[in-house]
Amino acid sequence: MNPFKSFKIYHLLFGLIAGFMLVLLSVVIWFSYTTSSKEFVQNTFYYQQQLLSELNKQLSIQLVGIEQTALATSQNVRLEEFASSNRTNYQMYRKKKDIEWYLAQITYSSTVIDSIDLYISYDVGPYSGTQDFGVRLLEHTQLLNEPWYADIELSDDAWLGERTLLTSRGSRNVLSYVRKLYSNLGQYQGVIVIHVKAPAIHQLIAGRGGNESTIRHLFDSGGRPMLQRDQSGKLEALSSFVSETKSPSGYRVAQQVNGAWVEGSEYLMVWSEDYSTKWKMIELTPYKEITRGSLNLALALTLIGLCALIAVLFVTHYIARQFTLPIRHLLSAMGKFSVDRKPVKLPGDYNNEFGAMFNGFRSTSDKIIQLYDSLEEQHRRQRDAEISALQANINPHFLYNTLDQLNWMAIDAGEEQMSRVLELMGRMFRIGLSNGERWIRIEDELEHLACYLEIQQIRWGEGLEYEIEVDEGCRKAWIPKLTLQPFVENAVLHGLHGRMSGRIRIRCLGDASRLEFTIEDDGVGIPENGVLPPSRKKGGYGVKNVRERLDAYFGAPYGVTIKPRPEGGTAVVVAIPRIENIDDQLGGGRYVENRTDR
Amino acid sequence: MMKRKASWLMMLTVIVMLSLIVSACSGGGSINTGNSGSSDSSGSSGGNVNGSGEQAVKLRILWWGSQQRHDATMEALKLYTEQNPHVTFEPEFSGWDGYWDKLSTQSAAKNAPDIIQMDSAYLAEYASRNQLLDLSSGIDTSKMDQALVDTGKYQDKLYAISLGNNAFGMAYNKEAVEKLGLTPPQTGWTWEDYWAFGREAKAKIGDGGYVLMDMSRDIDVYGLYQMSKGKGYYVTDDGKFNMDWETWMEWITTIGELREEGVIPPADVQVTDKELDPNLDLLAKGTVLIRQLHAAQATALDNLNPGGMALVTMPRGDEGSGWLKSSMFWSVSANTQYEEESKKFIDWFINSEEANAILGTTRGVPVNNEVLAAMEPNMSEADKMGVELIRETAPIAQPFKTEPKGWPNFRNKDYRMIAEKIMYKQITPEQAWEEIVSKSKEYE
Repeated sequence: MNPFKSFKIYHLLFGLIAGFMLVLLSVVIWFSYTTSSKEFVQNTFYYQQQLLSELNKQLSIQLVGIEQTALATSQNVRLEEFASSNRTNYQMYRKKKDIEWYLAQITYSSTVIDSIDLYISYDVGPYSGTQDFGVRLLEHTQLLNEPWYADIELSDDAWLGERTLLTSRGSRNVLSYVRKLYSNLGQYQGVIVIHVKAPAIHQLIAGRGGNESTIRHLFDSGGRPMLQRDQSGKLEALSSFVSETKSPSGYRVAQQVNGAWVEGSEYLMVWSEDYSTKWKMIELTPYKEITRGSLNLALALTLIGLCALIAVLFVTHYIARQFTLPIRHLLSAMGKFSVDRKPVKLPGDYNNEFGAMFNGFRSTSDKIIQLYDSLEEQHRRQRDAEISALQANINPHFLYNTLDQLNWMAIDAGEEQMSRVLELMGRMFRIGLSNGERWIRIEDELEHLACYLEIQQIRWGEGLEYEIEVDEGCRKAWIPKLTLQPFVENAVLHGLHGRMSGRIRIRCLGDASRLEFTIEDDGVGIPENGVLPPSRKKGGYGVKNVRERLDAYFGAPYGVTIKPRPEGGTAVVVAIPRIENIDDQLGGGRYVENRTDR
Repeated sequence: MMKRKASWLMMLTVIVMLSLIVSACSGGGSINTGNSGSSDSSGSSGGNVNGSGEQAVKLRILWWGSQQRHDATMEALKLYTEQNPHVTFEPEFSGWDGYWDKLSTQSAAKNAPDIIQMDSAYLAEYASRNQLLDLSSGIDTSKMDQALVDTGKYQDKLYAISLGNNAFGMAYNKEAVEKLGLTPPQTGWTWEDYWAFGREAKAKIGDGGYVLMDMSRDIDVYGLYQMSKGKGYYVTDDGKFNMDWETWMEWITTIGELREEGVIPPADVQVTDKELDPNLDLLAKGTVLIRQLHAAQATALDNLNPGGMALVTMPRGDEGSGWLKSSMFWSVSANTQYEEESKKFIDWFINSEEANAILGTTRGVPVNNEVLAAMEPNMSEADKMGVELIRETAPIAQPFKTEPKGWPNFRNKDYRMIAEKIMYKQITPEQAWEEIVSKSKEYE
């Protein structure tokens, strides 16, 4: 089904423009959403990367500071004296106190160091610290029980991830740097543990302008999580997922499936590794968070688009109305015209195709009005003709009756000739009227001619001869009534005028489609110029009538030809189509009407 | 007719569109389109500013004390945060030892906590160095005894708000004393009674333990000793060295003798003592039977062995002994960002019945008399014990002395170090005296 043929033009115009705009808009929005979200991810990655490496740098400074502190401390805190054999209790006490004091000052003067633990490998006797805030001097046996002892056993130093430190001051979360202490002779002396305040590192990593839903994780060079306790290895998985790339910085879009990380669309994962510490910071930002900007953009575009669409709808409505207005004008004009058939007023200021349509309609309707008028005229005439025919139907009875009476009067008077004439006249009347039919069979036409010629024979007495030769096959064909009679009458009245004898011959030749009647007389003939003498004018009406009728009914190549005969006299040839069926004649009749009106 | 119908249809379309936009707006939340259709969608504004408009405040607060005081204070802080959700705390606390080391380092770095627990001995020191905020306004002290308010003043400006009445006395192991069949120390006992009590108890205990604490290092106790002998405090109010050679030699020699006799523990044992620490306090461990203590520490003491401990006045001489003092103060650091919030907290701390119901006498007898009156019926035996010591000390109390500027360091560092050398027998008392005198010159 072609919509352009089945829907209303207004709906088509309105629907198509609005639909097109909608599609266009959707494409633009979708395009801007996808491009901008890509752009947003790129931007976010760029800035997060900058921020991360900056944070990592700051963190690195802090961490290196801690490590340096530990190193400096390991040089300053000499524990050899505890091993000396001639040590006194006071010296031991003083030494512990000094070390404690020294370490305490380090913690008190730093905002990130929570406290320092010192495990001494020598037996230093009982001691209760006086610097609760910052320092604990612990026995070496305790070190062996620490859960992180394995981390330090084989190396000189290590960072320990976030854990909870339980002391008399309550529990605190710390990251710890552990360093082994050696004497100048390279002898192992103990371990110093610097506890860094985890909240301070958290704060440092959180940075400024951090987003609530952004999570940053910190991993040491071995990929161990430093700031969150690893629950069922989830963070390790994150670290190894990032390490797959072997790139010190970058980004991936990933999601978590059953604890493992795979490419996906849940999080933007940006990481940065510090050059010196090899610590890696990984930032996870929900992907939705990043694309929210472009979503907002798309939303804004949608709103603007909807507003534009409304404007477009108004404009479309206006345009569609302007286009369909003339059509509706025309439709209503046509409707009105078909009802009351009066000229309809159409706008005259259209100069385009609509104007042409209006003009066309105007002239067509004018013509139709004329046609209707002529039709009405014809109907009137037809009615008149019918009335006159009816009237004419009355006359024959009166004429027949009168003729019959005359016949009887002639018989009574012994006028046999007159009686015969009257009888023939009656037969002529009957055929001439033939119930008002315009078409009769050729045999009836010929009988009519025969009656006429017999009457003339009676008047002439001897001397007039006639001959009628007609193919039997033609007798049943149809011919307009009294087509041949005027020419026969002409031949008798004018051709043989003033002659004592004459001969008239009527022949009919025909093939399947055409019939030719030839009426020949041996009379005076007609002048070579074809102009009939004035005396023959009387019969002129009848000939003219036939000519017009034949012309009207059939036109060329049918018609009447009058020409002189070489041997004297006149020959009239009447050509008509061979009409075997009266229905053809009716069709022809309608044809006649159309033609006469042209 | 047709035309009218069409425009109605159009209107309907527009209305539907606009309602779509409006719903899109309220759905989208953060977008304001600014066209007329969405002007009604005011419900979508983000709510990041709450009605009160108060900024989040984190107050750092530092105090010393025993576990009871820590627990009670933490609970009070929690209550305050519940009532003032915009205020949170970063508490730091420890025992007395180390407290001043930490505070002095932090103050030097201008990184002192917002709210500092202050002691009389250090008030002048910190106030004179302009490290404390003037608290004359913003805290309601109208329900306090004026004399108590005045203890927080330095050069007529209020730098510290007293948190409680306190008395310096002694705590002893009542249970053990009764078991040994000894006469418990009585209010108003003398130094001679004190030494004798030590020797008597030692005789009953034998080698298994000690009786008295080694107070060599505690110059404030020696100060009281000297005052009870009528010789004044170890330093004069205007900062002059005021130790009496004879009295001090008597004091340090007696202690030395008692150490030899095993009445006082040897230095190695003595230095492991940590006041009111359940595992390290020598009294709590049963290593000794008696130690110096403040009335404000009564609940902590009781907690070491509920019902088994008792308080008694500081031994006296010809003159009275022990003193009444303000237990401790709240001061505000001059470097605080949150002056108003800090004052508001202190005001609540001293004047709120709820707060004091939690705190009890962990910082001495509450200073707001109305609050105290409301609390008294509900006081525990331990609280009453503290109040009793204050009451008993009052008639014989020496005037409370604060160290002049600089002298806290002499007391806490130099004197202690010299005394420790005596304890460890590194030097003789005579040698120590010379060191003390020469050191004191640095402070005069």
